[in-house]
Amino acid sequence: MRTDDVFNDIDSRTADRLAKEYPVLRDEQKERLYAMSKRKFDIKIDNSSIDVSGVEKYRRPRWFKGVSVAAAALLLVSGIGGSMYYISRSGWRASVEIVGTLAETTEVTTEALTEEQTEAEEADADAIAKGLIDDYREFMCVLYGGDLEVDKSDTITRAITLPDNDVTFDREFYRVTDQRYPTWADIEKRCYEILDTELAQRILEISTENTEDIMGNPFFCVTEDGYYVETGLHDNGIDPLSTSEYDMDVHTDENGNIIATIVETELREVHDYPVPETTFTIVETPNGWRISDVTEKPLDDSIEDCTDAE
Amino acid sequence: MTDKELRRMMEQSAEEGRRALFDEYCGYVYAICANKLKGCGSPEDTDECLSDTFAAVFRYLESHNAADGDLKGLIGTIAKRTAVSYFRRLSAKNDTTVSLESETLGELSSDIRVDESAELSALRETVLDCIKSLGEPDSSIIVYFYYYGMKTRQIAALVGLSDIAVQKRLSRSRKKLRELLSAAGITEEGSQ
Repeated sequence: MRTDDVFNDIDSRTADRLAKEYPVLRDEQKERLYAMSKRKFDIKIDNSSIDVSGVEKYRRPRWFKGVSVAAAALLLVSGIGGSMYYISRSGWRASVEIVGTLAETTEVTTEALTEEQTEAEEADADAIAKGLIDDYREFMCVLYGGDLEVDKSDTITRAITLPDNDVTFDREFYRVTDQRYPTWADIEKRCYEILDTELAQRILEISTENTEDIMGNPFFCVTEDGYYVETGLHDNGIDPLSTSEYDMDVHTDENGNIIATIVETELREVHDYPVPETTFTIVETPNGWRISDVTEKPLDDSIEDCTDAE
Repeated sequence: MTDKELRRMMEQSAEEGRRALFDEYCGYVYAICANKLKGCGSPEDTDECLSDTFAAVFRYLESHNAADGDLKGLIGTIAKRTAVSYFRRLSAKNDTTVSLESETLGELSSDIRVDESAELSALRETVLDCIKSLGEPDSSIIVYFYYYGMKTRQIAALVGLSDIAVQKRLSRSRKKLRELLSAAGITEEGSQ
């Protein structure tokens, strides 16, 4: 151990002592910092939250929330949304056909299950869940975690108008040059390989915009020349989740759907606080097993157990 | 103000409660954020980190009205995680490896070793005690420099001295601190 360690990564006791014995914040600084904190707190952190001051960007890539919102929205969405444009453009149509009949398909599938099939599926449930969840985590890093390769010298600026309050501001986007996903159609394709149609549509819909005059606050812009990711999202992306370990509990519900709950064994470092538990609902579709719902369990009392973990 | 009083205040008036919480813990959070980001972030980054921390704390407390427990522990945990997140991003952005072997800190830190088995928390206390015994303004100068990672120019503004005077005092204090640490059993060869 070196004395370097004494000065670095201080523990709570040291921080407390420094704060009391060697305070550095003056009253005016406190006022300013409190105003900053309050402003960030007041901003509703969702897919439409912005800071229009032009000085600081507070939007965070809260993809968990986006996913949850999308999943919840499925209960309300009865038809096919505006993202059909992207799907048809990509030439990927198979999943689209099942949108209107998802519930029916699930019922039929459930009824058709024999005991033997059920047993076989239960035996495979772990493998199905793990495969999809790993794919999902990796893909979400790509989509919202700043994990796409970009050309920072090739940017576009879009004037974005929020329909709710008619505020207009500029937002920059980097051109995506990632060879894994050379076109937006490749992103869409991957999305439909992991998520069921409705959830995938919702995710894609809230993520993209393809017009010059943007109403909303998308993460991606799709043009005829390629697609672009918002600079803030790319630069502030969360750490790749695919590298963190998790424990998984899997069971099958009465409808034959796989319910998988994962708990991070190494809590993620995110901007706000860790999300220690996420539950995935996985349904069988004509195209195979797909994730239809993702529900995060907010940080709860478990934080008390890991506080001050020097 | 105790945690209980803060929680009660937040129940009566969320806005006043948040303000009281901020006043109570802003120095504590600032120490954590500044310490983690020293060498890789600017003062503005520390400000952002601190305000992100409090925004997250406010959100957490808003959604956990009935939550009980140690507020300082909760705030400290969120502050550390926020600071680590900033540290990683800033380090990657700057493409630098932050090391205390750097020129500014090496004079004190690179040539003194302590025993591998020494209790770090006890050691920290001892070092802080030694620093305190330097007397003002030297103790503040050392703390601002080593713990908060401030430049001598910033320190000068805080302690009301010139930049040159701070540099001279820092040099002398460093030498004296080394002696104090040695007397306390913290030497190049290790803790005695």
